[in-house]
Amino acid sequence: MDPSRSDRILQDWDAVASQARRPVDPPRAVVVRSGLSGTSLAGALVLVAALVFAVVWFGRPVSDDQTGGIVVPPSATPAVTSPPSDSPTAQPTPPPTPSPTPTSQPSPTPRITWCAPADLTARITMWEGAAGSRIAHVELTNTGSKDCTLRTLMKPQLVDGRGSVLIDGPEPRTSAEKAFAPGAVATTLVQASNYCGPAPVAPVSVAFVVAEGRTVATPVSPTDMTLPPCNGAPNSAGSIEMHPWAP
Amino acid sequence: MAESTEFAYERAFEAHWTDVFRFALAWTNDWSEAEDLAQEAFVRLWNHRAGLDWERPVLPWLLVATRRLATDRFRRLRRRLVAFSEPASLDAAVQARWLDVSAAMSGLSPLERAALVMTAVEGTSYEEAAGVLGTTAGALRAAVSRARTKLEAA
Repeated sequence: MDPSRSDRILQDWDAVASQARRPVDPPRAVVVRSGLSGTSLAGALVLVAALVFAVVWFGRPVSDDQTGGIVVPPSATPAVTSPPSDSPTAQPTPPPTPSPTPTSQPSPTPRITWCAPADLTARITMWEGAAGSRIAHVELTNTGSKDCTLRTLMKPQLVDGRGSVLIDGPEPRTSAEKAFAPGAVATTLVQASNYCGPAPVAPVSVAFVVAEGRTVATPVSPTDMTLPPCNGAPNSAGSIEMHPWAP
Repeated sequence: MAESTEFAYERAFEAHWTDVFRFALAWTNDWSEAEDLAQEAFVRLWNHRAGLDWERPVLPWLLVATRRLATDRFRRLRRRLVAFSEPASLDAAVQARWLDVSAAMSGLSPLERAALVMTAVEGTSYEEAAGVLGTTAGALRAAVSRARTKLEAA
């Protein structure tokens, strides 16, 4: 009997998948995603060096969200990554990165000038549809006249034309920082899911909350009503997350 | 002790990289993404090596880690930022064949693809596959049935 169409596809799948070649060396310390095709190993090492410098300079670890897939090995252990989700089984989690040992003569901490919302201008360049979600592409510009330090993760919100919060995002537990010169531009993606509330006032936009205040992005249009579809019960909670500001 | 853990890790890499890659390929239907996921799953295994019971099979741990990495929401967002790349490790003929196969499989959900490949190609039992995929054997059978129907109709 001839194999069915699904069996033929699976035979082909098996034949092609068997062409995969295992890398010679097992990964341990530095991982460069092949998806970042423009990132050379040298570039990755420069990034690693910059991150190590940032950790030393600010006296605390930098969030993994900024590493773009690069694992920074501390000196004490061969490799430590922040897992993107829970461990698959009840295994002990990796030890936290050791904090700097206090010395009797602490070195002076550099003063950080955080970017104030008044110096930041955000705008949504486009909305992208995804299954059950809407993703805003957002551009942030330092429209102030001074250098400042930007928190790369903020608390995102979906807001309506009156500034009312439609979906409130989580406070970031940690955030890396980046220097943000006047005129500099950073971009991010904000993914919102499951809005089951009442019809909001146009235009819908996103906002970013930090300790210094809130920056509301200019919407795509004055009448924009982009909302993620309701996938739950009426008035069930939605969710919103942001990717770190980059570059 | 550290040496034996390292040796166990290397043995696991040699024994299971292909299994992990194939699972990731079934889940993602994307060759480059599957290579990345396999790499990351082993990095995670390396990071957890001290706390693992190496007397027990490590493959289920790796497959669950791969699935969780694949469904990490920030990872999916990151993937949107990088351009699609052809699998560099394949020659042209295999690459063309892969494009046909992946197109045929693209109408299936990740769960349906993984369930079908695990049970029909890899010979995994429904109970084992359900454990890896975080579902029940019954739901897995339904996913396999849906996947077959979709492939026949495609």
